[in-house]
Amino acid sequence: MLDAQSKPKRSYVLYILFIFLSSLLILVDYFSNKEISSYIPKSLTFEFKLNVFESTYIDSFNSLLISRAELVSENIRLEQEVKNLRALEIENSSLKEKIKSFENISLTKNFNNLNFIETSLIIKNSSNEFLISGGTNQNFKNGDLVLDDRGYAIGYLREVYYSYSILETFLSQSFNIQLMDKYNNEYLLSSDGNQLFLTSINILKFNTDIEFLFTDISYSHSGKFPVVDTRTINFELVNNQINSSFNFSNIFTYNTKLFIPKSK
Amino acid sequence: MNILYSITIFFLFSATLIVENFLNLIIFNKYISISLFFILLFIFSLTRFNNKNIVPIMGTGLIYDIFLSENYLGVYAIIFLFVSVLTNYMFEKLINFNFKLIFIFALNYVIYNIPNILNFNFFSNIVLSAFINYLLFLLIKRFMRLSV
Repeated sequence: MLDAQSKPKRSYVLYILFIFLSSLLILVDYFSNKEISSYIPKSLTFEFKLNVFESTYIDSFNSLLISRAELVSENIRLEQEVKNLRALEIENSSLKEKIKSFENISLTKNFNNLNFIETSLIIKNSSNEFLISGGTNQNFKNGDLVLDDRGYAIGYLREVYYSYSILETFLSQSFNIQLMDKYNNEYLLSSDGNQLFLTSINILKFNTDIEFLFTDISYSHSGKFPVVDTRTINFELVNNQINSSFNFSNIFTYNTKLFIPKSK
Repeated sequence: MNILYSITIFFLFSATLIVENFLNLIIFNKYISISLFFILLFIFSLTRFNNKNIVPIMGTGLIYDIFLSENYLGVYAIIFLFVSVLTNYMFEKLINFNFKLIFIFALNYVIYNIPNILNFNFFSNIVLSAFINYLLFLLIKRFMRLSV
């Protein structure tokens, strides 16, 4: 089966020279801060048909979220948050800074301030990152949230080129995102590529009725979108800390519709 | 003629690489990855190893670095070239033993996936994927009647 003896001696010199040439390219790219490797993707145009959801179509998007929207009910929750903050203001003046944060949050009362740009997965690379359609030609920016068709945030844009972008999701080992709950407690969600790790950063008030952890505009996110359903994970306060690990629940597939919320 | 050969092989490699990535998107499993390009590279390194393949292999690596990954330019070019050289070298120089081919295949598959070595499940994933890809390689080998 292994018929090796008849083959002539090979010369590997040229291969090794080209390996050195590639090493040189890495060095040049490193010292140019990836200018070379990102030059072509940033200037090359692949035209994808993208649907921009204008405000007149916002209701159709809301219908996608209706099952969750009824549970979370953005406006009611925000109103409740404002009430909670007012109560806290009386109890403790040191929470005034947090109240300002809430007032900022309350500016994003509904989705009318946002356009939802539809995008789709193109390819998955060997590092479990995804290429999605749309880039700087759609005003996408690094860090823009990406939602699935249920309204859950499934990741964010790590690298944006002219007509496509690289999406970082739970499946990527370098994924991490800051989240907040309705009591303004802060969390860090990170991934090792296999499991998600939730760690509390700042616990102000803990209650068992925390159902969802959200993205927040105070972290430069475009709005409040659910990421983690705490009812499906081990979510307990121990020594004033929350440390939880769990498997991915928001699994999306190659044909899942994705949306990127952009402020108008 | 050489240029035409190189261009043809380059397009074959690039197309296979894109199909590989697209296939893995459809399979959508974090534990299994089908590496058609690796199998093609392995076959070329065993049966058609020559200097005319250098530019297509390097070009495909650069395409991958530019469009499909966030790595620095040249990372995958080095990996592809190195896998090609090592595959051929081991096949030519290693003494014959029962599992020589699968040993070379598995070792080079690990090198092919070296950018993901920090992944938590790297080795368990590699074992499963290497096995599946080796079966695929055997199927292709039988189908193409390759004498390796």
